[in-house]
Amino acid sequence: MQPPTATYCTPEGDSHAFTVVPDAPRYRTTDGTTSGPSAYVLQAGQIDRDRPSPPKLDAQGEPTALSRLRMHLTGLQDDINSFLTAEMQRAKNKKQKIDDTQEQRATGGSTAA
Amino acid sequence: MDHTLHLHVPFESARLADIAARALAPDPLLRPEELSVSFASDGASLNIKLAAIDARVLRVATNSIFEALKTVVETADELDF
Repeated sequence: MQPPTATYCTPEGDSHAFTVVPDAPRYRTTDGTTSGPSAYVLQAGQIDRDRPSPPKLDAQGEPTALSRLRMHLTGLQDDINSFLTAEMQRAKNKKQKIDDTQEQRATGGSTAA
Repeated sequence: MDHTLHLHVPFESARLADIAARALAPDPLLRPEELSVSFASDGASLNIKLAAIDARVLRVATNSIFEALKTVVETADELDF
């Protein structure tokens, strides 16, 4: 069974492919880094009662095929979350720059008047 | 809605891919003007297509779908499908 994949396309037509590296640690756990309570909340004493269950193991002690898929999805979810968070920040910075430029123009216009 | 994400999830069988597609599809969209989502099984693969108005909406929706999908996979695993 091949690992899951994803492709993101921007409004500008650029694309970004997400792929799973099965041997990498981030694709060998059901505990994601970008889902669940934040470190701040946990340090404040909250108990994570929705923590994902560990992978199910077969008779040989290896994760079942569906558990491997769940681990792959967890890593892929982290990759996409991190990427889109960076995209959100990039869009925010771009909007801020436009707002600043417009404000400077408006201020410059009123000074000249 | 020009921020798109296509997710391709291979399963062990066409039956499992179909179960996943049918289990995920009924969730209604709260803001259809900001997001569209489709689920389809193609043989042993599940294809999910999302289109959103911006990266923030896409991130929220994608994260939610991943959580639901992982629950479907875990349930199938526990039931030994």
